[in-house]
Amino acid sequence: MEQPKDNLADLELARRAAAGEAEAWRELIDRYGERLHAVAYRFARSASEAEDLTQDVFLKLYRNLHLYNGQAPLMAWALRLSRNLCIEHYRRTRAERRAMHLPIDDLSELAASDDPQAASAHRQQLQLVQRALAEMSRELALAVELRDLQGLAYEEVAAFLDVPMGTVKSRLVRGRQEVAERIARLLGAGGRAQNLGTTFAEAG
Amino acid sequence: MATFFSRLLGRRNVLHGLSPLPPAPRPPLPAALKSRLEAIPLEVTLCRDLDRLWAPWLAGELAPAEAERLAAHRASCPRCRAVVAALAAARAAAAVQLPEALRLRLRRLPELVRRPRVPFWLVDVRYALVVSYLFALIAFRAAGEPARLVAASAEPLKAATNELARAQEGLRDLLELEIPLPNRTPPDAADEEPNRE
Repeated sequence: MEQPKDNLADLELARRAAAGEAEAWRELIDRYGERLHAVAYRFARSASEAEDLTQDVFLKLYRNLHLYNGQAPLMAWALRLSRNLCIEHYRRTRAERRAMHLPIDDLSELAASDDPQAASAHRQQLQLVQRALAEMSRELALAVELRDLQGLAYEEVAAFLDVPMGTVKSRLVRGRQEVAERIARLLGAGGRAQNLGTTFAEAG
Repeated sequence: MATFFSRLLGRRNVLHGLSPLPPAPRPPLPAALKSRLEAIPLEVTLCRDLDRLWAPWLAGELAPAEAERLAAHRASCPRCRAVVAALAAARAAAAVQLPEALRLRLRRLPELVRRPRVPFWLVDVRYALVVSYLFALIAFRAAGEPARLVAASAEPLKAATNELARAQEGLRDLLELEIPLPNRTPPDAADEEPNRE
């Protein structure tokens, strides 16, 4: 089977990193660190937990780099590797959690320095989305989060969820519909819907 | 409420064979309200139709014409504006940057990992020699070969060891017993002399 050019570059990078070339390993971190960390964040309950989980993911990546054969993009392959670690972690800590973690606390701290009113509106928006996602089936919610919030490619989402691309797409259609409807309903349910609407109108 | 009672009264009057009361005048529905109410089914269907498109719209993945249609709707619809704003905020929040401390930690990972590599004794010829010698030793012993074979295989090493021991003794004799050195050799070179032999 012929490999796309990108994968050949990925293969080269993986080989160099596996051979212990520090430069290649650094490039790998710069390329994929942010996205893998963001995915880990979804399954962790705090920033430090997310960091530890990311380190575990990279450790596994490093140990398995020599097995990468370039058939899928390196990022998709890395996501597939991280999948079990993330799920295991999530299961281990499930008892102590209510919903998936959005980095609300970290962000509100940042926003607080600006305008307190805008910060609280921002916080409300994030909570809305978080609630909407928590109410949905996990399948649909995860597809929306990975693709629409974190910006992973379809192929990468498919690799992480370990389902075919077609499944990812159909889940996304349903998930997007559902998340928007739920947000709208939550907005309507809270008496502040109108206020939020005007706040957005001013802001946007 | 008034209508309800008047109907009730009317019916009773009919039952009693009396003429019905004229219906109470109804206040007309304000035109603005009427058009808003009429638009509800349209709005609801429209919003629901667009719901699944906002995420791709935010990501800039839609065709220009469709993107424009959505933007126009967003501008006029508070409900969709709020939904899009919430989604956009969540999108922005999801873009967590890699903390610098974590980046450094990840960079150091290879140093902490023992790589699944070539065994250490293949890396260096010296290790290889030592290991093969030990193997030979064990193999001969296990096979019950005569001790001379073992001795023979160890002979070069033994010879070298003996030579070194002799040289050391010679040197010690020279230094401790103050045996006079040959005249032609300068005192500084005395240390090296026995080793050379």
